[in-house]
Amino acid sequence: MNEQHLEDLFQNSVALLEQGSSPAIAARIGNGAAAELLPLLEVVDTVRDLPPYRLQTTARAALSASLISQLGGVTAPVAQSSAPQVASSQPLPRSMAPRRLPNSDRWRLFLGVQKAIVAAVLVIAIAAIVIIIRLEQPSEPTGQPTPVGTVAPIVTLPAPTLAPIVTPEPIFTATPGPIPNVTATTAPTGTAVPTASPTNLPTATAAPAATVTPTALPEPTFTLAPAPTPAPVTTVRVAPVPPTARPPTAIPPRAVPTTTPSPTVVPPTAAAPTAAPTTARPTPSASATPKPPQPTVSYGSGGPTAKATAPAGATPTPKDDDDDHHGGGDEGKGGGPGK
Amino acid sequence: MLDWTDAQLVSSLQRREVEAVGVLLEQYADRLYTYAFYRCGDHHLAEDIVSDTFTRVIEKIDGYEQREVPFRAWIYRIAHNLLANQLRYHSRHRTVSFDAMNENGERKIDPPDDWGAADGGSMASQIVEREELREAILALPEDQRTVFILRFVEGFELEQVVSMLDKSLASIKSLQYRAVSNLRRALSNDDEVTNSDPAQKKTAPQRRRGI
Repeated sequence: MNEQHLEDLFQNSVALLEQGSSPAIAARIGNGAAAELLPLLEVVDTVRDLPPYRLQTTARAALSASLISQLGGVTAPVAQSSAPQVASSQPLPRSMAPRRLPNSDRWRLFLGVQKAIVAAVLVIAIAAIVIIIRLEQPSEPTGQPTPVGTVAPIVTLPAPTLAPIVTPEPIFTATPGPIPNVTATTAPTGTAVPTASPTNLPTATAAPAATVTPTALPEPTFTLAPAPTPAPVTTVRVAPVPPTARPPTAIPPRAVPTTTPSPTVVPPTAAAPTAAPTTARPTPSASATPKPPQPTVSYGSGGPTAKATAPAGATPTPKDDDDDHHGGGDEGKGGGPGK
Repeated sequence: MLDWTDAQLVSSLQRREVEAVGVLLEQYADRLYTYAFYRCGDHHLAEDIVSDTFTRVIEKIDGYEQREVPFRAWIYRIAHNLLANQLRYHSRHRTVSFDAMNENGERKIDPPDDWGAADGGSMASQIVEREELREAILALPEDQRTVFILRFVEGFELEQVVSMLDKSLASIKSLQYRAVSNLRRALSNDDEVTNSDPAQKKTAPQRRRGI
């Protein structure tokens, strides 16, 4: 009979044997092969009936003690007789404990460092935020002076950037009218000088003290604080006009800074003319040297040509230097074309 | 305490309950020892295997999940791997336990605790027969021996043996059949040697049953 077929029959008969059949009955499955299956099934049946071996009681007690100590850390007495045998199996659990302790310490240290880093980062971030907030607070007040706003509007007319500031100001409506007249005549004389040199600015402020105080306001250095308070909006309105009158585009930028707090206070000079041209003059007097050029009244004629004549008066040169420094835009430009 | 299911035993061990150790030993110590002793034939090595197996069980019990493999099969797989390592080591170094030999250099028979049980000597005859079988089993090739013990001594299903040994079902069936055939042949040869009278020629199982 085929070996493979006999093997299959053996599997089936073993299944019957496991279900409780006797070897003789299970062997009948094979029909013709029953004689060959029966001795195999008898071996299987015998093995299944054999009594098991038993672990010695001493070894069992020792094993129990070691397992309990491994499981819950309970120290139980170990049997003396089997100690050497058990010892071979105990090193493993004992060696594991010391490994885990340092790991846990390292882990705790790692977590502690992480927490410290996170806390430090948070503190730094909060401090940075507080510092930034404090730095921003002082800058805000600069925009306070209302007078500044009043001046700006006039200038903005030409410059688009300033437009926003101007629009809110209702004062503008009135100013436009006078602007053209004043600027045309006065601008040349008064404005030219102050804008050119920074030194003039202070002088300008001096003038405001008298009347055009508003123009002086812009200057931070000019402690003449009175300037800001002096609401004389009317005067201020006039001041800005000069810049606008001249070169539409270039002037505006000037006017804005000057009017507010900045040195370009040029307007004051302009204002001076409106209020009283003579009074404005005094301001330039502060910067003695520059004043002489004033005679440049030739400016009155207007733009470029006038400047060309101005050089004739040698004195004006110093002013030119100042202009360069401050970018005395207006006059410098005028000279350029003359060339 | 002996009525615990494997699931209860596992959960109790995972909770580190001390009484679970007693149940574990009660249910598996003798079976594991039998399995190890059938496979290695060395009393002390079998004890060490049992001890190491339980130690590993306690170590890894937290990571054990019932759905992967039955607890019993899991324990036997641990014991199987430990035995394989030990047998490989012993086969290379050819070490023999002197405790397992008598004065004449013959392998001692390890009497079980129930030696001489009071049923009129039938137990004694069973034990002698068991020793003959054990000697024959030890003579089997390693893979056949393992399959035979797991399948018929320990009573595992074919599929469980397949999962434990990582072999195909066909190969397990083939190993099982060849192990039984070789065992029968070995036992019949012993009978032929011991019984010169052909009329007395009987296999061990037949003698036990009085056939």
